[in-house]
Amino acid sequence: MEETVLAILNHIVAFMEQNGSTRNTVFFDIDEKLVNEIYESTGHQYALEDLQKAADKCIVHEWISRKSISEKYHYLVISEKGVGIVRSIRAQELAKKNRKPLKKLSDFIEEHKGLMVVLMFFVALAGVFVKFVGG
Amino acid sequence: MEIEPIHVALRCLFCDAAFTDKDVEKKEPESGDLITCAAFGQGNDYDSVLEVANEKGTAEMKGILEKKFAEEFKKLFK
Repeated sequence: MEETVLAILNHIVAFMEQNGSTRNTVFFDIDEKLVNEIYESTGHQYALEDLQKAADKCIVHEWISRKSISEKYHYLVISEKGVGIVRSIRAQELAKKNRKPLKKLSDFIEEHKGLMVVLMFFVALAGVFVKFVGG
Repeated sequence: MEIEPIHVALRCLFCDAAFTDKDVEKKEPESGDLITCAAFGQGNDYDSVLEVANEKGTAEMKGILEKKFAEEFKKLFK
């Protein structure tokens, strides 16, 4: 998932939570104001063009939808699917955070399979080397 | 007036692929569970997946009902 896409969706859901609003009552534009708001809340400075590209992707996947036929990036709303994306990512991050140490180790090995193969290769190589030198 | 039941597939929020039995570890997932999409590899919040399917099903059923009512209404004036 692209960082800019997530930045937009996260920002809208955070706004909804802060103001106690439902998704159908929050309208937003992809403009410099949004760029500044995201910068203030996350510390990441995105270019307006990048956010517009991300908004295009969100519209294609129906994560946000247009409520106006005027300007392309004007009068947008987040969809149920878009809210679901944010919830899913948050739930996954929470589950990742609450993993037991053994599970963390198992996931690390799973995520770094290639590195483990290389490591095992060197261990085997060292074993053979020790056997020949020692013998 | 008879309405045929509709079936709405549960789909991945990220890639829109339909979930299969293989994707769901539990036979009956519960609220708060994450179900991982085999195609995209991302965990999906089960509640959100249900809500999206519910929204889609409601819209689909609304269309069917509107069509049925229009047909029935026409019959009244025949």
